[in-house]
Amino acid sequence: MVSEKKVHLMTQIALDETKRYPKEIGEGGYYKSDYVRSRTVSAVWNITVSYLLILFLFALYHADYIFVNVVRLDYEIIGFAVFGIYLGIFVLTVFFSFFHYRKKYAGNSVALRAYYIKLKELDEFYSQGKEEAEDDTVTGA
Amino acid sequence: MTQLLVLREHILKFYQKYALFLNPLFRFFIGFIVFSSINQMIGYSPALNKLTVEVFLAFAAILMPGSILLFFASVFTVAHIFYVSNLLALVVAIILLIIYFIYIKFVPKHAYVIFAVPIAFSLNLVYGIPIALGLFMTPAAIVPLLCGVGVYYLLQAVTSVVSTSADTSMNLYHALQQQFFDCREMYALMAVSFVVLLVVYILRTRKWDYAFDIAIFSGAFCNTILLLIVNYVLNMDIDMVPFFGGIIMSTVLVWVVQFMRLALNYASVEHLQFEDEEYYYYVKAVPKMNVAAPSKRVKRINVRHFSEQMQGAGPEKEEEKK
Repeated sequence: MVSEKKVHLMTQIALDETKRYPKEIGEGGYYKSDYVRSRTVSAVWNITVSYLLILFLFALYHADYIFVNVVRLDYEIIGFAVFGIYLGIFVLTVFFSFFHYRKKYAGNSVALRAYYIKLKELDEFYSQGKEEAEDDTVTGA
Repeated sequence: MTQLLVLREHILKFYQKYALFLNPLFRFFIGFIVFSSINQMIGYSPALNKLTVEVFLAFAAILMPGSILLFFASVFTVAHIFYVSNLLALVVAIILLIIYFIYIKFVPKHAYVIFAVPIAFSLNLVYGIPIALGLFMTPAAIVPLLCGVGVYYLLQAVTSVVSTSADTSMNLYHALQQQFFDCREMYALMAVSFVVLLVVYILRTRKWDYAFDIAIFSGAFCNTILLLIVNYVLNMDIDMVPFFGGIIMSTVLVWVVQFMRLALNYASVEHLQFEDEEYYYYVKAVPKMNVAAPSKRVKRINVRHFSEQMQGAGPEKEEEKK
């Protein structure tokens, strides 16, 4: 027989998984340290690619000047400037990402608590169903 | 008002009933609007600037998730620019990639706002975007709004540079950059949009009755006045008829969306007070307006007469045959 409460619970779980917290559930399998580290690495990667693209656009804009003065350019200063700016951006990205993703992980945990409670309730339903089935077998025998 | 509420209920019921068919239809229309707007803005490539291509891509949009649609829209834009200048296509592609890596990767949902702004420009509905964002999002939405305005003016700069310069060298890029950064209209619109979004957000979060409606109309008023002032000061030469038409249309559209999303009954506001261990609460509860949509039942008042006629028709015909 269809259990109305069980169907309601399963609908809620399906809604959580598809509409309410799909991203949080996907990220919910990580340990906190792994989550923060992987997100920080991803943020650093994004910022690095963006920085390289911006450098490329800058170089493209000044391409004529670079081609004319290719021998006279002070590559040491340019290298220091490019690397120095990147280092600054890198440190800022790591710093902000670390705190931002720690906070986000805590927020995700709160959001997922209700979802896990529903899963537990559903699990209890199944356990009860199994026990009842075993009882029936014994009675039948 | 009651009729509007009944209409709202009918529309919501209709949508719920036929959501399976309506969702793909909406996706088709959104895809069609996106690709036809791009063609309208920078339709350089004759191979892509065709109704058949727009319809085909709109059909494909039915199967695409939103993010893939945006990706295809970007590729479509770059392909058009590539037809007139490889260098400009490269520059635009890199700028879109930078926006993707710096911003969209962190806040994917805001990508829709960035792409909605140029589309809204082509439909003359751009004045409604800051109002809608202030109404439905937080002030953080200003970042994608500014990016969207930037993308639109970048495409405008591309069309302007392509139409005025026959040069194909690096000077084209210099001209593009100069055109883009010298565009006073862009800065003015960014500033006005920023103020309007903040005004709408601040007003709609007040505890006043009709706060949402007040926010929408104040935002529209603020938008109009500020743009007229900017137009006068910067001598931008805005065409008044499309401007006022756009303001009115976008304001009405935002109001309709808000009405469909949430209609509140301020006539039955309840004020509650209660306490727990830590706080004393003053609560203002505004009920949502809900009207039961009357279902049409056809009652046949001449049913007996009708059935008698039907029964009598058979033998009569048989007699006639005889």
